[in-house]
Amino acid sequence: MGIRRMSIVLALAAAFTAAGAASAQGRQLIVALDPDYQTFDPALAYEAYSLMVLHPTYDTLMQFETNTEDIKYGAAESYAIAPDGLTYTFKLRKGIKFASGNPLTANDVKWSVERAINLKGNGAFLAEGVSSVSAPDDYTVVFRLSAKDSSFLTKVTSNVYAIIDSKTAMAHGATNAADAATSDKAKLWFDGHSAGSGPYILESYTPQVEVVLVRNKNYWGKAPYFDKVTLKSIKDPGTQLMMLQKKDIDVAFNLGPEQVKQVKGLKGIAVAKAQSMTLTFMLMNRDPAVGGPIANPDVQKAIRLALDYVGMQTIAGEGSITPVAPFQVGFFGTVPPRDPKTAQNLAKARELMKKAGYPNGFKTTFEVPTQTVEGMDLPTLAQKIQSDLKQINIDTDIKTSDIMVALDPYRKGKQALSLWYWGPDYPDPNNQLAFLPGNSVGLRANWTAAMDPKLAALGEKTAVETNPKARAADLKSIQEMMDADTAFAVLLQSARQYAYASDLEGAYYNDYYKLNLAAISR
Amino acid sequence: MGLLKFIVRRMFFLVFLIIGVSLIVFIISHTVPSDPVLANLSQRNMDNKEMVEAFRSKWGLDKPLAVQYAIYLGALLKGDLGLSIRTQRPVSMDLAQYFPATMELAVFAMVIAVVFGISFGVIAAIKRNTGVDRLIRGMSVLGASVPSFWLALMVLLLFYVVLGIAPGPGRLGPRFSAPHTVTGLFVLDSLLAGDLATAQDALSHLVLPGLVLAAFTMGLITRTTRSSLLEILSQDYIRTARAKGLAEREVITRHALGNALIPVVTVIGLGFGNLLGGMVLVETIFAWPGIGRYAYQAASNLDFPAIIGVSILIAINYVIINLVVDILYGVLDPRVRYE
Repeated sequence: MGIRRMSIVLALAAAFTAAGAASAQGRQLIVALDPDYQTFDPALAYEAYSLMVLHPTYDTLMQFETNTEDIKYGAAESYAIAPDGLTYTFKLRKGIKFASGNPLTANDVKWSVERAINLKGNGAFLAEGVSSVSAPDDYTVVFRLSAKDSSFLTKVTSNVYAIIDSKTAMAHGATNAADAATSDKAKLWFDGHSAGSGPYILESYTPQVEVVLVRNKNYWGKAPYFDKVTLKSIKDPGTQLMMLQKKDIDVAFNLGPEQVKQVKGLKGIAVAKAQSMTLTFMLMNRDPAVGGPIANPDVQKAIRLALDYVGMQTIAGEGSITPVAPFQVGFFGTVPPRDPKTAQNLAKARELMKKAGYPNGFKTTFEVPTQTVEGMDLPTLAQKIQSDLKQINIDTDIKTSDIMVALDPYRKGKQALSLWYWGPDYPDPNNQLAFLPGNSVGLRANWTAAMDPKLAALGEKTAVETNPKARAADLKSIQEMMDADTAFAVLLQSARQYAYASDLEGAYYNDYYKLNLAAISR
Repeated sequence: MGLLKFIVRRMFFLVFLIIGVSLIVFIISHTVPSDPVLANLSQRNMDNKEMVEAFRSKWGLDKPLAVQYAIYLGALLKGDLGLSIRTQRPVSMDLAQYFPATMELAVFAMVIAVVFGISFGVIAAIKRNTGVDRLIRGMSVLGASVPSFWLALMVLLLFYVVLGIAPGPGRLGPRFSAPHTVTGLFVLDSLLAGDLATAQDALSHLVLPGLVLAAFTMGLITRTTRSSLLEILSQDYIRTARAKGLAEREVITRHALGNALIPVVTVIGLGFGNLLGGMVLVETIFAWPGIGRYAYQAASNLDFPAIIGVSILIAINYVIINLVVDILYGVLDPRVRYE
């Protein structure tokens, strides 16, 4: 009896410890991340992590490889812009096949873009300037725009323009008809399958568990190194770190500054640092009825001069920087970031407060959403700002609230002073023109075009300027003008740190695709 | 016959409970000072009136509250929980996916809590005021008071990272794939598929989160069993049993334990409910794709259909657990009548 019991205990113990002993099925890459994706329908997906899956499964006409590099050809082999700036003609590479074996033609491009426009998903605005798409032959696509758009080529890299195998998709209920928003029934199918021509195929998606990608044998380009890529949903950064240490995963993608400290110097683990394109900024209302003393442009300037940028960058973690205006360093035409050591000037800030008529300061509320931005806690940053502003006698009363509650007054322009963050919708400086007076974010600070007509006009000109040289000059002027006077204080452009098994190569960060999975090897 | 009537009556009551729960949750989630538009549209589209209107009309948010509820209730009575605003999948499909993961873990944790809780409680009562008793009491207080997220991180660090004797987070090892879904319970499904390796891996992944979840309830069961058994052991009929010359083991198993378990059953019922409540943190740390995280995400996105769906599911659970507890009272104590 005793022996039998003992053997049961031993068998159970063996069962519990022998986990993970399955044989490797080819070359497999396992990435742990805390994703936000909700769908893999290229026409509907809009979350930050969706492109990590859509980029390796679909081709786009143009694409980016890294954050800073120029735009490259994807499924297109050339393009031409008509002199009026309104017609873009793309020539497709010949011989591209979808994973299904169907040839990729200009008609698929036309069908895919029309479907995205008619589905009216969150990303559809990226194609709202397209008035028509035509396919004169199998390898030529012509886009006709309703207005000039200097960021059109960048927009073409987004998943809204991903080329879908229209035959396969239609067989699963997809349509490009005008009433697609109600008649298209393919979303659920797209969530578990892909119909593209990229290096990988979406094999399965189990929400909150994993996405499995397998190699596309029909891929036209260089075959990726890994046969299978698994993206594991692991929310907790501490858990990600433990799994990396145990070699259960190859990449831990969402580490905070704390975990990075722990992992540094560990054998077999490399830490990568990259610039994220997320900005953290303060909004200062220009409407005296809302902002009170905050609405005074001199007070706003004083606030920018009173901040301790070195201290804020320490809170945000190694590698974070402060752009001079709401234009991310890394985008076309962005000027070098502020020197954090010389950006603070308390004497000048106090002088400006005096000039504005507040030598003894004032009291104001400071609204802060309880949110973490790239591993940094916004309320913690708010406390640092509170102590900085105290030095010029601005007494702030921090009011924290859930982001879902804070968004409403923010959008309606009802916050006097608040802390916010912004991730770009597409990797182009035109995105950031939203911060200009009279535009959507500018109006959240009640900064109207009439308050700075020169800057507003320059913004409008830049949005349609297709000559790169002239565009760069315009962008430089905009940033200089916003450095001198704006309703915002740009605080931080965060860095992103992640860790991976040191024998991996090519695990480079791209703010758009996060990791270019097909480029990673061991 | 009395029992059957009792069950039917409870089930009848369940219908009203579901309507009540859906109404209360509907009202509460609509009084939150926010708007699902903000949670589900991108910042750019929030400023686009056409997009906002299309969103409101798609999800019926442009209708008066009473009409919205009437539409929801009408569908609910047909068994349709609606579409989740966040995942854009039927809520019933989401629940069917996440609930088995939670159930598998909760049942496993409950088995640990009940088996060890009652055993420790009995030992502590028998060895009253000895070193063993003090140790068990100390452990049970500890188990009931240690925060679960801390315990979760500690057991992972010790057994997974340092000692390497337990598997890491998740329902399966990174190199295993989920078995074909029959019940959604991985251990059972892989056994049904005849895949012993996956069943073993799934079972081993239950151990650590199961222990962490069980800790609180186990402590509670241990203490309740001990005090209840001590009270029974001081009764006259126990003295009589001992006077008859019965062995102590028989006195406890045949005469004392059954009666002592009545309050324990109540605690088990409550513990099961607590377990479901404490799931969110444990599921997060152990990357367990269960209903706790789904509920959390639904709440933070003001995903009304999903919030109501989860609430109804949990309410049904409570009713069933209470029903089982009530039936067990009768099994343990024949004097209990179902009226």
